[in-house]
Amino acid sequence: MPQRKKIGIFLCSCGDTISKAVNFKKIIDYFKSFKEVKLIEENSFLCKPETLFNFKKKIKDNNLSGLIVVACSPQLKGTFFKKAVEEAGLNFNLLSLVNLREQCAMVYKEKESSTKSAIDSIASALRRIKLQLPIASKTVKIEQNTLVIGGGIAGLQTAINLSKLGHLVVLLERESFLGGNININSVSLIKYDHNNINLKEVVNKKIEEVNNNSQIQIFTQAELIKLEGSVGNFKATIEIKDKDRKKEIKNLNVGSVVLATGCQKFFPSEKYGINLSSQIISQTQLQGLINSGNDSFKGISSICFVSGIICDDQRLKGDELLKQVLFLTTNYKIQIYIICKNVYVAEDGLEEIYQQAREKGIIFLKYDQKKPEIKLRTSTNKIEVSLYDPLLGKDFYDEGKELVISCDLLVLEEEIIPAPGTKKLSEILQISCDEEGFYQQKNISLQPVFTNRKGIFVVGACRGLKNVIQTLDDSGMVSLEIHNLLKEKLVKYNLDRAIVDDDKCTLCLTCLRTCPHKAIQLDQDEELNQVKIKINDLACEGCGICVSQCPASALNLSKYEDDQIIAEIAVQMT
Amino acid sequence: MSNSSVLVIGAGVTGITVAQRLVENNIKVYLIEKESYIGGQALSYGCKGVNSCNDCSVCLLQRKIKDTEGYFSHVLFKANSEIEEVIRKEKNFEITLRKTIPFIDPDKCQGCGLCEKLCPSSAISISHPQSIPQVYSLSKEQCLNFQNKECYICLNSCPFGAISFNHKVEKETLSNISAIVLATGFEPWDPKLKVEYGYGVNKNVITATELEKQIYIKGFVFRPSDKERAKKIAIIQCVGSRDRSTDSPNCSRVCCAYGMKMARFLKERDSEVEVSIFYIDIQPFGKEFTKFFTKSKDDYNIKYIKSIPSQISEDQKGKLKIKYEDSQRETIKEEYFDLAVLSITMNPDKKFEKLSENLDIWVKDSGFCENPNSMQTIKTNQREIFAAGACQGPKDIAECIANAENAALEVILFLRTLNNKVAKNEEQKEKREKLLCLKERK
Repeated sequence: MPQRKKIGIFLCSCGDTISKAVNFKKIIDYFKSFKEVKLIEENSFLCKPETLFNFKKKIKDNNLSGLIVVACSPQLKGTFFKKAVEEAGLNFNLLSLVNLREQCAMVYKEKESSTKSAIDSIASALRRIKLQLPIASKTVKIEQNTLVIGGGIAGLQTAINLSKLGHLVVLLERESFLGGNININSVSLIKYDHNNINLKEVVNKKIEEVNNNSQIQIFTQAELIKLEGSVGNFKATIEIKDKDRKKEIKNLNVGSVVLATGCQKFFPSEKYGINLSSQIISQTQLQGLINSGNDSFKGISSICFVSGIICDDQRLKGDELLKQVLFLTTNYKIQIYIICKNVYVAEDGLEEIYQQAREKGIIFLKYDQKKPEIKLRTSTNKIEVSLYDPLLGKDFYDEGKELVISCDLLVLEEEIIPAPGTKKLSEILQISCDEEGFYQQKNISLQPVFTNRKGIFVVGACRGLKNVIQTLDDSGMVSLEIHNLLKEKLVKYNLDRAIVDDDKCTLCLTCLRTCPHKAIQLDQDEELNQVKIKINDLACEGCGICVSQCPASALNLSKYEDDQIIAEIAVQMT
Repeated sequence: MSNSSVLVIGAGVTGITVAQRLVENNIKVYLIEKESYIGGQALSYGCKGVNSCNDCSVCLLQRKIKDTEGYFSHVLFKANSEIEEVIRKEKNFEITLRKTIPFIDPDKCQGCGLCEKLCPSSAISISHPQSIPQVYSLSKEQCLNFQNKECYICLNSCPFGAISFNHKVEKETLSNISAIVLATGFEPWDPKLKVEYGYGVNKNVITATELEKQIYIKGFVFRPSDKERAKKIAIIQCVGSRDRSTDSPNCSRVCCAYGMKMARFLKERDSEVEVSIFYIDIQPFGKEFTKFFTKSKDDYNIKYIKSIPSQISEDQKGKLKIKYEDSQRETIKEEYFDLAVLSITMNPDKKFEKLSENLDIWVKDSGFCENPNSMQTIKTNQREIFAAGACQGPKDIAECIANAENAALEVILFLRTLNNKVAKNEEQKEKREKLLCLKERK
């Protein structure tokens, strides 16, 4: 028979917001008669420093072992009171907050009914607090190093940041070289305000920095093939290819994983209904021509760009397009037409480039609803694009006809899709993707760089379209998140997570399937030679989905045990 | 890092993020703010989700403000303060602050609300319902005492003696500042400069923030002229941006997202409202943009008109006549609307110019902070001064936070190099190599 708890009830009038609507005297009279209630009193502002000091003192003096604070919403002051209770030497689970302000005082019009409801709420909290037990905390040792997947600019910057913060980094790259998209092909010039910056140089500097850093270990031609464990203690298996294509398997222990796999450009021939040829090229191919030098544009007098046919999203591509055309007009005598739906200018300095391009004689034509049509005229060896630009006005067109632009070279926009292997990696790591295949489901602003699994982060273009600057911001953010997570070798956490009862468990694996955080795993018990369910406390968020789904009721949340909930509801039912 | 401290200027969403990160890494932070509360401009925006989340990221600010509960006691917060003088002393800065104590002293005010109830001219109110700290402010325009009528009701009734009718000015000097983070944010452009739209003259031409206020206070969208429900609303993009006539040529980046989400928000709240968006070029944003755009056109029936109105005039009944070029029919069209909402652009804070002179940092033509190396956006021409958030150019809330975190990281690393604390312990390294089985590879 457990000892009877000594419970204290603290009522807060919150100025007079609560006491105006609820009869405190009646409540006090009602609960005074209860045997467990050692103390019941009214305060005006419990959250003020002086009253809080008295509150802590009373807990200690009366040797209370259960507390009910009747005040405002736990959303507002929940953590505040929990902290105060811990400071008074009591476990946080021995505190129950009753929200009288938002749920009683502000709801009822009559004082009588709100007082009745208040008494019910406090009574159910009292029934429950009697059953609530202290929740222990546990300390675990965690690995302080990080695995970064992807050697593009996002991965490089993250690795550099983390090493500067004192963490050890393992950098994996699938290709044989670092630098990612920027090293393969990119706009050679990036122009912001007044400076021309060669992105390739920037990336090469970063590669050099990474290579010379003793805290960063690089594996090229390496891929992650398996990841076990959870936050703080991941066991990663990586496969490294030699020069002779021989495979080598390595095991690493890491504390966190960062995905920086980036994006790629893809030419969707099916969507266009056109195949690429010498006269119809993609934007990447054009960049190749620009990079290869002078002779590439011999005999070409006009180029036509078409954008916006396959999707409305022109980020990254629009940025590149304006820079490319400006480069072409300044260096070659070529007439350029740009046929688009919207011009992308939403970046620093792009409006200026757009203006310059127009001043230099580049013609922008904007179609609205009707998509432009592309035809290859074999007789003249030219490509014709017919479109309808409403801004030109009726007089411009012949009766029923469209504007036809004929050119020597047609440049088509590509789609930007996640890098190859993104899906495979998401399956290995069991993290969710959006409809377009990028990591992270919707609402990336709410929890940027996080995934559904704790300890696995995403950064840069693999979580949605991002330019270089945004990617660099991302890597700064992820580095601080990881530093916060891993800066201590030992992490203390409360055991208020799901607990499995092995005797009841029938190994149906329902919990394993339903857990959104992948905190539940099958574990081999060496001694008994049998498998059992293991819940990783660090990865578990205490959401309770597994508890509600378990058909054998083998799972329990220690802060919401069945008997506690039933006790709480029972009062309200009668 | 014992003596060094960091000064963060501006306690908007960027400033509090930087301060939070620095405090987490045991760095002494001064956070100064010209208003009496934290949150900045983003406080005037509200959530735009009705049936589902519209990803407007306003809740991020609320969460950031809620987070302050945990660490704010470690931040040296200076409200109502502005920078008066900056002196460089060797590696450090010495900064003189000018603190203007408002009529209701926030240090003394406990937020009891007694004065608000008693004030006969309702001049006292809470500056922002969500502001932290929750303090009242007195409006000079409404207060009887400033209209040559004697009234001391609030003064005599305040139990804490927080009210006085004089502005007190205090000066304070902060020394040993090793780094400064600029997070001064932005200021909405003045729509009165766009004379054709008659903001301030035509009562039914309002800004988007005013529209939000209508919804959160009254619960529906109405015409300010007769307080009747607005059935036909025009949202006009690019007011004060991409417009050489008002000397603001640049795109303001965030308005397309804002206007389109606003339109969707209005439609979700009341499907009978007709919403039209006037635009130049749609700028994509967020995730799955193509899907968002098609859905808002097809499912929500929002009219997208690729044209910017040339004139707005109001008739006697308060109907707005909007004149624009209808590109589909190639005519000049005059259409009547109940309400015109202007998506106005972001300008740098008015006081930023003076501050940049004081700190000797470079400024762009547009007035925003310039960074000499465009790959490191958070750096300025001074090594010790960092810039984050919307003081560099228009940014949305999520971008500001990402930028702020990056700035915080740079500040942390900067302070480390300053104190030569880059860990290069050989013994430690060896241990780590063992841990990662790197040796065997060598």
